Amino acid sequence: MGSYVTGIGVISAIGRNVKENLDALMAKKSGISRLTHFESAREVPVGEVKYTDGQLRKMLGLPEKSTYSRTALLGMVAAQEAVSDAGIDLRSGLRVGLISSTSAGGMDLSEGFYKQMLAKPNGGRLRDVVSHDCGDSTEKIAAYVGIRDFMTTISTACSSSANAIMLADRMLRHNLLDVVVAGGIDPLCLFTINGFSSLMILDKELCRPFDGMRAGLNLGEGAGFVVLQREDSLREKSPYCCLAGYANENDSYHQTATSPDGDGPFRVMAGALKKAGLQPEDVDYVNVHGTGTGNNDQSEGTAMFRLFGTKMPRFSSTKVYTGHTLGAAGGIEAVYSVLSITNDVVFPTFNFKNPMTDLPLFPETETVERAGVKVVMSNSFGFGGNVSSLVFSALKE
Amino acid sequence: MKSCYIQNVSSISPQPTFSGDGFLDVIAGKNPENPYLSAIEPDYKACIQDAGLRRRMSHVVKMGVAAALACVKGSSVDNPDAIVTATGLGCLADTEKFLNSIVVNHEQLLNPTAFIQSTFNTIGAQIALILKNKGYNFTYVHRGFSFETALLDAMMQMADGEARHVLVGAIDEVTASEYEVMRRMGFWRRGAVMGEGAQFFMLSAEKEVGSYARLRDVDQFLLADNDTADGRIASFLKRNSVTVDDLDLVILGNSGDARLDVPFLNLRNGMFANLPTAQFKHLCGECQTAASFGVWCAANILKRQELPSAMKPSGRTDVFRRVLLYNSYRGVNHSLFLLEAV
Repeated sequence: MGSYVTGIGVISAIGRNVKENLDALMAKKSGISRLTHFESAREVPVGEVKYTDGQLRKMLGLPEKSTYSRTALLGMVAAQEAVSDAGIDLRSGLRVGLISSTSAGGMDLSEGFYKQMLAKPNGGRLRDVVSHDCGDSTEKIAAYVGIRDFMTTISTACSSSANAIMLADRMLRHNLLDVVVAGGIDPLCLFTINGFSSLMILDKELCRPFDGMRAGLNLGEGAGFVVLQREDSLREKSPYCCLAGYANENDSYHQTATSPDGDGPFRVMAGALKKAGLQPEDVDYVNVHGTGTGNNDQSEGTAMFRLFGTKMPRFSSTKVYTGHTLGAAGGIEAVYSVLSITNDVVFPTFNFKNPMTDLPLFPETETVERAGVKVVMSNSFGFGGNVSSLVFSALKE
Repeated sequence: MKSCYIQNVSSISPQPTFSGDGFLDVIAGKNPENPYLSAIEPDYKACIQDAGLRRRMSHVVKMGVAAALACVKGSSVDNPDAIVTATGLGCLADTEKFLNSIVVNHEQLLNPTAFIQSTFNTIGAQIALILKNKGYNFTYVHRGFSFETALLDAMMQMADGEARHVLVGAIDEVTASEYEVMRRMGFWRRGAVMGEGAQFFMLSAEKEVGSYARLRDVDQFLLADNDTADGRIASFLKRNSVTVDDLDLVILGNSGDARLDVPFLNLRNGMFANLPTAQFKHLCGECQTAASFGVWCAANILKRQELPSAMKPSGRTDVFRRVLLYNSYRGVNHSLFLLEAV
């Protein structure tokens, strides 16, 4: 038995807390829409969190004039919700850590600074660039939530927050910490929008994961955190489920593409199950990485066929709701995986229409209630061949 | 934590650390054209054979990949079971290059190469691609904790029996605009000098022929305002069943910053008053992952049983059995490393 999930927190395009996210997922309500918070020449739909930085500061009770990266603000909202949800008393002597992750760091502010610096050597306000690095948001969140014992930050592109959750379990098992808040954050910014646009993998419409007609991903933003505890640090709150297994590897195929035979994805899915002591047929639902790019869904689908064969479990991509939130995806989707178990529901990829010709795979298109969900697999694959899979399982009755 | 062994090391730094057998016996003067310490780069053609690949790599990626490949080549291991990298600011030059193209080209017709290579895990990924390594691959990016968590992760992997050999490396580069922004922030106003480099370590779960040193433990922590590191150092030593008297040398990560160096001076005059001490940041410069250069020094001291005068030793010792390294990055991120001779 792995570590226990006792708290969850999320902010995304479909809501500022767990309840709003769950309601939208159940109601098949996507958060993908037009970009409103800043100007970009790239007219692509995005999964934008519907609050400005100022509104987030207000929500968090931070001074109106203070400067925080959007990364830090989104992270504070989700991490604070997860900690409150777990009911952890941070002064009770438990050793509490924060393991966060992000791919863009404080780029939402520093890209503006950089533009001003290019225009004028002494241009730009320094307070807009001090938060550029990935560690900044972690330290700000830790200070806000009240965590001091341990903190670190991971950045492995789109698998970042799945990897943060893995490290959390490892530290708990080594008895280095009693409670870990783990997950990740990414804000929308010009840098990533233009980066993915230059790779020509942004769909101009709502993304179509696993669809034969898919044309790319939609970028999103948000943060997702879980609170993990060892059995002996559990208090009154009964856990939601446990993190039963996980694996990370390098696909070692290409800097920005996964192998067509799904080699890396196959090995981490199998590895996560092995660590959990489970068989492929034990999996009730797979929250796939399912970005909607030609490459990802082909590679992931092939890997799923290799692992599950004809006994394909229910699966769906929730990126049609949130967009691809990059470093936050593993954290947000870990929260959704927990919700799938606790609410016994499978969230649909509601816009799926045309199966791939060579890979007859059919994600759920309707909300499935009383789906008998006990074991959920959550996949996250990133640039640099970084592939990760997490397995959550319901508590034994 | 179960200790591990440093099987091999490599370093590309502002000193001639990459080639030759010397250990800081020749010290490079600072390039007067640069206000910071830039790395002495090797002939990358000899390290990274694929010309196309090499051409696409930025300065920081080349440093990291060359140091990593040299570390693997000189070790007993063909391919490690896991690769863990650490960086404070990652591939900054490529990040700036892509930002610059967004601004200059008004978001039109952008070349994705710089974006692709700007990702923080680019170096770890490139190493895996070149070695065809399909193992565990993590990148830590937390200021002065990046290298520390990378080591901790590697030690846990080995303690869990999931890896026998882990390649751990730390890489940071200086760019002109980064230096300038930090200058405006006052980082270099009081004596600290900025630096860059790449240090890699092949760690092994078991002692092997040629091992440099045993890595007993690593710790990373913040301090409350007005608190000193004394208490944390004492508990770190205690959890490893070591007293201050058992140490033969303390390596201190003071950066030359008149204000931030005060706690280091206090330790030298207090807790470590009876111990020889040495320094390293005047050789490698200050950056988020500078502690990796300190660990590279410690591993060499323990293997060679010599302390170079370039490390400004205070006091004398003939036998080095146990070395403590205490580092702090900007007085915020503190870390401790305990190493022993094998």
